[in-house]
Amino acid sequence: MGKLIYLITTSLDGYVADSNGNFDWTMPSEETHAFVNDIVRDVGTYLFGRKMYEVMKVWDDIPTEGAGRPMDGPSEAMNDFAKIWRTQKKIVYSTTLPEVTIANATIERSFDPNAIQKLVAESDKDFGIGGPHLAAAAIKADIVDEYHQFIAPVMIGDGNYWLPKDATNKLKLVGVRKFENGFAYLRYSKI
Amino acid sequence: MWNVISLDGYFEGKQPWDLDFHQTVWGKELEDYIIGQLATADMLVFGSKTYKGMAEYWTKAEGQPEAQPMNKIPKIVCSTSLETADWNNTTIVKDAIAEIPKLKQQGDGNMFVFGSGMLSESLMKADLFDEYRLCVAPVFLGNGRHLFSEGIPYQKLELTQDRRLQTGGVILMYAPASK
Repeated sequence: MGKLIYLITTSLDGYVADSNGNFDWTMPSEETHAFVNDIVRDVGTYLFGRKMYEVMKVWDDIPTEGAGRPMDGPSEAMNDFAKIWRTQKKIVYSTTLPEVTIANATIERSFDPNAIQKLVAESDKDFGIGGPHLAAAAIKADIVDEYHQFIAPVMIGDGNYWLPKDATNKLKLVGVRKFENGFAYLRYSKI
Repeated sequence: MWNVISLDGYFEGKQPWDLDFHQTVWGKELEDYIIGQLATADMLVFGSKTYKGMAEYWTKAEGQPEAQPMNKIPKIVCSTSLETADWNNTTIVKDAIAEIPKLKQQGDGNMFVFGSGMLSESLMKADLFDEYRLCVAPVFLGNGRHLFSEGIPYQKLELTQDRRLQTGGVILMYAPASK
């Protein structure tokens, strides 16, 4: 039985991007990136909103070995992530995108929490969900099994908040960690 | 600053003093932490609403280990309208942004701001906090008042401590990177 995982980096005040869409401060260090890789290694399928898809699709083109564009000299952790990425399926939720241009991806026009819950339960591998807007639908339907919040040491003041309003829940804390770059990591599971 | 917040960032629910979620993290560990914190304090700073609620509570809480320090430690209440403040050892401050930097220079102990959402917002905007201490409770409240309100300025921080409580709370301590 798989788990549905919401993994995200936020500011201390809970934003995933500022009001201009900037999220430079979420950039992982080699240490945090390697840690994320170990969490997503068991993810077989990603569920993305349109914006998250636009951000993540670059991973289809990043070389997995050696240096090269678009990022000069990918690190070991980046190479590893790119390799994991290429084995994973992606479902992109968008009402406006005509098509998706990455490998292993399909497009869906609407998000059905019941159908996803069933898929996750029947799967050997985990599912990742990304983008606060799409995640909000899953959180409100209470189908998210684990929350992994990386807190970047910064306050932003305004932007896209990582959790929806009007979702109430009590969770179980399963892990806390501090990284060298000042990121904190809080991991919770559904009770 | 010391505050308990929900995982979705609220320091109180929809109604004033809607703090039931504190129960999820309350226990011996947090109580000891708070008592230890109070032992380092030489002044407590409140906005008028938190002050009134705290005064009401702590003056009648004899026997609780925090009551003695809470009642004894010098306090200021920041309010432009309050005329009297009867809780033991209280001074009324009209202009918090002007007075708090001066008060910080006095004494060797720490000044703590508890609760006091509106005052905290003003102090954040004026960059007057030297430390943010939070206990994150493992709950989504879904609604209420966010501790970090929209419009606080961009600020780089340094994570100075992280501590996991057995109740599921997490204490995070940050200092502004500039200080």
